[in-house]
Amino acid sequence: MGFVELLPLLMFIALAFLLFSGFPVAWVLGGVGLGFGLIGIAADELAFIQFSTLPSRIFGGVMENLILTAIPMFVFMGTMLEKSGVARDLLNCLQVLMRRVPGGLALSVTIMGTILAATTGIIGASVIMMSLLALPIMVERKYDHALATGTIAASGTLGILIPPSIMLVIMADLLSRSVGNLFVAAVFPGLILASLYMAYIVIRCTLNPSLAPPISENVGPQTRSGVAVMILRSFVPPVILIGMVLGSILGGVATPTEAAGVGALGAVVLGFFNLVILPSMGVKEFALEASDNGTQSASFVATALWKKLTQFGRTVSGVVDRTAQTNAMIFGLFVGATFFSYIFRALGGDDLVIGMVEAIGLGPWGLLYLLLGLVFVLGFFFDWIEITLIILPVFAPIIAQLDFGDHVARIDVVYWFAVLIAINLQTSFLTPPFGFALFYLKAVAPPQVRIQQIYRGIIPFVILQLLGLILVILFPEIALWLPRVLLN
Amino acid sequence: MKSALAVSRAIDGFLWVMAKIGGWCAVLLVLVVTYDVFTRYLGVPKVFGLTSTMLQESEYWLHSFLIVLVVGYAYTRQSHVRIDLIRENLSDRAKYTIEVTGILLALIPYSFLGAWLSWPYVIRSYTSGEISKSQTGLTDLWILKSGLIILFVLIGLAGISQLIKSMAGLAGRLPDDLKATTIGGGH
Repeated sequence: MGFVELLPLLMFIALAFLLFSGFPVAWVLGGVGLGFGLIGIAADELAFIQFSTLPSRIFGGVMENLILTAIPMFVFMGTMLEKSGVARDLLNCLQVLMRRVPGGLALSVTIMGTILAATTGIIGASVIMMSLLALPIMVERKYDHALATGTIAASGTLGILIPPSIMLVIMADLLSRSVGNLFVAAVFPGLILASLYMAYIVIRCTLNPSLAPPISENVGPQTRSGVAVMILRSFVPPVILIGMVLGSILGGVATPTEAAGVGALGAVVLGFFNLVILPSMGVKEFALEASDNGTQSASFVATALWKKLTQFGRTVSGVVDRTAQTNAMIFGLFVGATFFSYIFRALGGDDLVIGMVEAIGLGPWGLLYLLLGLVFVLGFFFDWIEITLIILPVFAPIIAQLDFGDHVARIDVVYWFAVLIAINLQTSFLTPPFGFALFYLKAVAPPQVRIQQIYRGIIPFVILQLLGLILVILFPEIALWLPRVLLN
Repeated sequence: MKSALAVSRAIDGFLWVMAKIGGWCAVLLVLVVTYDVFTRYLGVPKVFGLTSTMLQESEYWLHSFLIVLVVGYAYTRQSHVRIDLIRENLSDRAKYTIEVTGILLALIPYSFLGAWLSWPYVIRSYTSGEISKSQTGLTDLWILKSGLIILFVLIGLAGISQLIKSMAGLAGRLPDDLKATTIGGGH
């Protein structure tokens, strides 16, 4: 093989090397693409005229694409729920409801992670949010640090798998499959993982109650009606909102884009209730401050309506700003990756990859494990955005050709594969010593939480993840049954 | 150096204004989607003879402008992902050097090429009076396509601003308040 045939390979090596400089990934992708484009021209492998189709690729792939429009709106919805305090209230409410269950606080965290899976879709952001909300309370309540951090990291990363996950939107787009179908396919695998976490927490805390001291009985509302108000105020609204968004997609009533738009507006309405209407009506906000000593530490200060309105306005404007930047980050990468992959293809990258795969001669199963292994290792260093945008397009043609005989129907292979990759990536983000969900957690954890405790706490969850992964590999129906029943 | 930093501040201010407009596209996007959904499912006719096709096309128009107006700004706010494994242990000086090198070798050529390739693409759309593939869709597709030029020009401007700040940092003359937006940190 000559130098020219190896150019695509060199391109990947250069990319990997330059990414570790820490220069923004979006620009590195563009720069490497451009550099190798010029080398290709110098080596007579490319004609400059081929560059001129790049704008139409970016236009067709990114701009003129109604499916990807769902992404900023899901980000908006999640950020709004977080910044308006809806997420915090939900967690507080769950804690009170579960105070008699062993490990109730940890279970609350898992349930919240499942319900608000969308929070922002970016691993770092959701792990940080969950850590800030839950970890100080858990530490204060003398929860075992390892159990607390393990629960938070695992539940905070569930969001990439449980719909409406923006990773699944991008995966479906890159694999040219239906987003709705992929969402439905991910429902059971996500719920199975969440149930595994919860079973583990309950069993562990029943065997050893000192790991998770229960919350004192006199925290939160004491009367039946008080509890009812709390549920109506903090639990029902976000659950209905998420239920509507998911239900309309799963029921095939709305496209993900439509559901995302309505969900985003719904989140603004919930935020308005939470920040303006309820406080004005004098509905008390109850907070489980770490310092409370038996009485509610709810600090309700009557403020003028306009003050609440301006606070609401500031919140919305902050959410818009955050959404715009997160979206820009994702699509800046998208454009860079389009550039990179185009040059990679033009240099014969696809043929090189297919040739290499055939030369190894692994067969479908070997190839599946190879790809899972590769993605697992990449997950130590890169977030899902880089991995799906750079790696997935390279392997997409191969994946579509995989034949697992009777194990998985040909048309379903891509969905099954995408779900496996999603579980696998989440596992990778959790696996010590590199798993970077753990670093984000450490960065915002109270100082007495040590990294060794985080490592120790996550291991059982990594084992549960692997169990979930094996289940979906052995029984593809876990992922494929629901889409067939619901969407035919 | 002072006047160069003033240029950088002016660029950052301009990018901020662009990003604000982009942000409003996100708000409009949400409103357009919900309007389309509710009128369609409730069977209410849309105002001004708008069609669902037009609304759905305007959704990706809005999303495109949400993207192109903010990507450059996001760089000046350090919102783009970096692989920080090695970089976070480097000295400030090394970080500034990486930034200067990266901007000169990768970002500026990339934005220049992108804008330069997009130009004829937009012109062709304009002169041919290109409209949506769908009969009932939007016209003047060149406006949407010119978003590509905006995207790459704003990336280039952000690069120039960050280049000035990083060089000032190397020279030890970067005001402290600009450090976090130049090489990150403090998070």
